[in-house]
Amino acid sequence: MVKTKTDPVRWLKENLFSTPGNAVLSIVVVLVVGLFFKSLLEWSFTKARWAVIPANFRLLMVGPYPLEELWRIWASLIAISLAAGFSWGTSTREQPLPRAPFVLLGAISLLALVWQFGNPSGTLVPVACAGLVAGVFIGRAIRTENRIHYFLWTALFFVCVILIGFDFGRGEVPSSLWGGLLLTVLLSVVSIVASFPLGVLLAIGRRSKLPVVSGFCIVFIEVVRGVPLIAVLFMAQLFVPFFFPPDFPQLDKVARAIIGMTLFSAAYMAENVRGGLQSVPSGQDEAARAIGLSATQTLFLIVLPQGLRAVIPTIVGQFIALFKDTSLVEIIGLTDLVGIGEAVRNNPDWLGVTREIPITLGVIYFIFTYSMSLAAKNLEQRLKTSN
Amino acid sequence: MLTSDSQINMATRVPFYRDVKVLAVIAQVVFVLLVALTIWILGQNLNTNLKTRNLSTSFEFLGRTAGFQVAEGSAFGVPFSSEDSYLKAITVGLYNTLRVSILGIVLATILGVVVGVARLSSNWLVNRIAVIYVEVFRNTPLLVQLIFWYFAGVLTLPKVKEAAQFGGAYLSNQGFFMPWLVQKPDSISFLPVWIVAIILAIATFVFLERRRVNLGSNEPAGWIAIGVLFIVLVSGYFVLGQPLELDLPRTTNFGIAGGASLSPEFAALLIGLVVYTASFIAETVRAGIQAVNKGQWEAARAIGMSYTQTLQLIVLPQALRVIIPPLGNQYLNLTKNSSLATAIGFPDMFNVLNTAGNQSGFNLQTMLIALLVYLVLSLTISSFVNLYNRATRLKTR
Amino acid sequence: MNLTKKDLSNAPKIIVVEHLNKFYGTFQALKDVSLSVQQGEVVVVIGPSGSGKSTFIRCLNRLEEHQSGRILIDNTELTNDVRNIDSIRRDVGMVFQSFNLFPHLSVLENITIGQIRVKKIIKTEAEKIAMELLERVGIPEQAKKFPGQLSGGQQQRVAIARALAMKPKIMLFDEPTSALDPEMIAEVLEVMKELAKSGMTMVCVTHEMGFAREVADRIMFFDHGQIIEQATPEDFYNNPKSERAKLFLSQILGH
Repeated sequence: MVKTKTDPVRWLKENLFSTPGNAVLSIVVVLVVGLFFKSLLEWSFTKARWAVIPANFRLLMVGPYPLEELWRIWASLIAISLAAGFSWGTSTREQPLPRAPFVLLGAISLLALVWQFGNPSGTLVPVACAGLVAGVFIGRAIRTENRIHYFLWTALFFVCVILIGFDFGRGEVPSSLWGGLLLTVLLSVVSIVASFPLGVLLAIGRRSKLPVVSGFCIVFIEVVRGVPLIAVLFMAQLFVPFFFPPDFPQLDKVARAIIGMTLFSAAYMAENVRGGLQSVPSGQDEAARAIGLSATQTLFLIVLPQGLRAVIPTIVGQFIALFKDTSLVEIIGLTDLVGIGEAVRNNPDWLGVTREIPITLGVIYFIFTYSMSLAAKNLEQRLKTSN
Repeated sequence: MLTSDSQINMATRVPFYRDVKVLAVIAQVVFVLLVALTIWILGQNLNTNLKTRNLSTSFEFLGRTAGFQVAEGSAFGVPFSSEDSYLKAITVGLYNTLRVSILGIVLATILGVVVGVARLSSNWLVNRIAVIYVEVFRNTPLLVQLIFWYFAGVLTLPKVKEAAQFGGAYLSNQGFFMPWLVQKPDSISFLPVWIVAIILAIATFVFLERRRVNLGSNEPAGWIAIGVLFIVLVSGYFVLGQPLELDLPRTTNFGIAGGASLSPEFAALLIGLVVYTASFIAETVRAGIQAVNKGQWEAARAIGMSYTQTLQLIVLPQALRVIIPPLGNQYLNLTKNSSLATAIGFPDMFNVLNTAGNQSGFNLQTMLIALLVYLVLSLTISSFVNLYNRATRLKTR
Repeated sequence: MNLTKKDLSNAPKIIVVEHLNKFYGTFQALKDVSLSVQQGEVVVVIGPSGSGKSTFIRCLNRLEEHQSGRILIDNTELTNDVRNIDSIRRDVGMVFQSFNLFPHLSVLENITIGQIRVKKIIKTEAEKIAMELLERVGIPEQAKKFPGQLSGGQQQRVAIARALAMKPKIMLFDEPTSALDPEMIAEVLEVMKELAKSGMTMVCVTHEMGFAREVADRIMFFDHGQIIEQATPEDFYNNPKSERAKLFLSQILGH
């Protein structure tokens, strides 16, 4: 990191040419990287057919979701922006307003307005951005307790799931029509949320002094962690219906995938939570018991709140991993982001277009996972300083 | 001075429902009953479902003729044909899984260490490139990377007729082919010579290292060991009457034949696994080296050790203790991730099992086999890691 | 035999321990320990580290489980009976060497949580009691802060207030000043002295000899899991009877 403005020659000398070996290394690297970027740029401006992306953009985002029902997704998106803005606003109330994010939001809005003028996204993207900004100001203005965020986001989670799938007089949108990025996000969010309580229970069970309980939890956790996700997904597709009574309504493919991913994720969640519980010193438990709290009270009032707080960054990390892992549902035939991408790549209209799709998918995944990992780092720093 | 106070004695007879020991047992019994009940209900459902669908739970199908071809690999040296049994097909799959995993682990470790060290380089450019590498490959799904490497990478290489050639090797969309030493027909096996050579080389190295430490002699042990290896191999070659010959790949009407080859699927899977896993290993290596206290460097330099000695004798042994457990985890992940081969049609174990299950209808059994084999592989790797941990812990005492 | 300073001849025995044995695996931490403590008595337990004194007082509220012998607190025997364990824990307050305040709760919440959750006192009432106690230990202005923002001495005083909030009959102190910087020890000892004067029954494991001389009614010397000697502070310090006590005193006073 360069803190003060030093002159470029000195900077080059210190950072690239400090020793003869370093100088040779620098020159070789510049040549190789330069060659790589040259051919990449050449390809992407002359040979690449980027038109495949805008032509299939809606498919990549929402898959075969019906056009006339798209308002449901826009409504969810705007609600989420408002809530995100609100949470961001309340948590940074004491700090001065940063300018960069607003400039970015403005730029996105403007771009959408110009590029998609007349299309729904031309107006709705700016509305979502405005919602985010409005949320920030509301959050800064209103004094709230921290607890409100849990309620807000839990409520929002259910509202969005209902909004996306349920019947509002014009029929429901079956999960077979969910696709693209929408399905990817839904799968990962629903699985991580569902795996959280299960993982906490397993972690508590594994720490139990009762050998039968801890033994059961250890076996479950270790077996699931020893098996690849793809095997779990296939098993869920094939065998979940077997475990329900024959007259039970058939679970669709998405639901089975969610069951598989939830069980898979719960085992990893359990290990993360266990790490958090172990970080709570045993003195806490003793002090709680000494003032007469019962074992259950001690767990829920003293140990869990501290343990979970310590592993929030790890859980974000697990969510990132799960978000990437949802791509495996493509192999069992779901139309998530990768599934749609493969469908487009195999479309005869776009014969010979091979690199553009995976590169775009990579960029989309990267934007999500990288920003989440930055958020996790930020959170970790904040947790460290607040203790 | 035991007080026989009747009121106090009363308290020693605890009703069972208030006794902590009894309560603990009751809690376990209740838990077991609940789990058993759940399993029983699920099992009942499973049972009725199996009956109504007429599914069997026997494993006898393993002996039946597979009837499908496995694109590459062999049952640990024994070639496979579609008339062979399911069991043999699965063995071929296992062989392919092990092949790609072991090769992947070796290459990913090398690449990961290089990138991890580059991540700590004082050279700004090298440092930045390592950071970009790690962030790009860690933050995108392996499946997308595999699709890229296969469909947008290996398959877009030139056709066989126009294959890129260098020094007798071919690079085409049918795979990578290179010259290889093979056993001449009807000649004495060369394998024992390899084994003897390697053992001798290791023995030489250990002996010279000991001598260097104990007697202070100063031979370059590594080079001498390599020399021994070379001499034994060459002399073995002539003593056994030149049993090896160079097999050069050549183009035929059907493609390229001869030499050693990597199929496009194997190559894409290997590249994908190595590049992806190396990005995680790089972070592990970086964290491990940074975990070693700066004072250790200073202390080692203060007693007159050189930079390489410090790294080799002081820093690395300590960093390794931090690195090895997560590294083991990465090896485990690589092995499990090799199951993504299904997506690009490489016949790894999971792919073969899945095909076998779908074709025979014995899905339940094939998935159980998959579960078991992956568990065995995981346990094997984690027990190696545990062994290492125990060994290093003893050494530090 | 007069072992104590105060005249407690009429006070009831509030702690009775008979033939207590405690094992960790094959290691015997407590060997046939018997004693009784009367209401209002202040007992200071001393002894070399690893002598079993901490284990002993942790047995008194079942943080450690004993294998044989009997413990009676206020005529209730400490057995496997959950009801007895709960009622004894309510009667016995404990202060730890490392404070063990709950870092995710404010100072006020640390003191009210037991009252609200265990004694089912309503929140406003509990907070009133908590503020009175904070007043008593001298830090009412810290109520809204979190433990991490307090000094060690302040934290330990909050821990004492937290224990007192349960209105215990007995207070156990497990080396309450050992983790403190010298300048903070005095403020904690001051609170403990005040507590002793108010008539609280106290069992303290501590190395603070000044405190023991001034406040203790009885000194109990532990070694190798046994009570070697019991005496008034004057007797104990001026002419210890056992060789081990003499050695111990020479080691801690002799420098």
